[in-house]
Amino acid sequence: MNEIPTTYFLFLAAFLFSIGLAIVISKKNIILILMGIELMLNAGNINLVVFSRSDTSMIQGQLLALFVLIIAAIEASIALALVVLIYKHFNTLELDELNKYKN
Amino acid sequence: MILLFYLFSFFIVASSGAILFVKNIVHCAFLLMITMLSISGIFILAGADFLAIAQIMIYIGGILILILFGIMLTQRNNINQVPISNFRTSITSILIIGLVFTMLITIIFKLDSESLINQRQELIASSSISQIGFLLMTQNLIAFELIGILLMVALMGAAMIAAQFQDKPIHANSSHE
Repeated sequence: MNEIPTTYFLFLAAFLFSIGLAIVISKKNIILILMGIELMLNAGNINLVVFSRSDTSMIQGQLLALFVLIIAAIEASIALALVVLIYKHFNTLELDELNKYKN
Repeated sequence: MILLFYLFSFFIVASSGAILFVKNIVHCAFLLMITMLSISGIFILAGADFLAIAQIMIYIGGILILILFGIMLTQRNNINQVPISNFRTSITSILIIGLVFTMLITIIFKLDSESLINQRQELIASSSISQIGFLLMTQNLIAFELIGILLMVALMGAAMIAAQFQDKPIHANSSHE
């Protein structure tokens, strides 16, 4: 199991994190931004899992990754409920349109 | 092992990169599904088997379904314009399904039942599930219970928030239009 070097996983997680950040920055739709946040959380999870390989007696990294997974599920459920509510109120999900209702 | 890693990371890179460029939001959701599946494969390669299963169940069974529901509830007009299928895509899908099926059949014919049993025993011996369960019930018991309470509160809160619009939709619409 330990044949793959840790740095490979770290490169992959770094790429995933930057893609998620790019999606959060460049997309205008709220649901797409949520997807970007999920990608960034997953990049963090990959790092946690990979670093917990190096302590075999106590897999604290995997436990923390498990908690991150559950928090991500909670965040997604609340955020999508809010998205539905926003759509019902303003009839749009584009952030530029929503900026008009600031005041 | 390293080849599998390259395969999964190729899928992750390709599908998550495609989310940036694809216009249709439903396609983005399905690309996200491919990404999550490949990440669970990466977890297995890193030795976290329980976490890989949890990833599939929570992300693909939970969050992605939620996202699809969100899309369907909010993009009603756009979804009708997407063509369901045409001749070219159906031919392509039949080709791909044929390729996958022949690959699976080849794998099944190449299986060696003796080595399969040995590998399974090794997998069970090196599984991290018992360790995770032990640590959850001893050292991290408070965090475990707290996250259970948090899940229940989030469930009730999401239901409350999403049910609000049924009370006064006319009032909300008329005040902003």
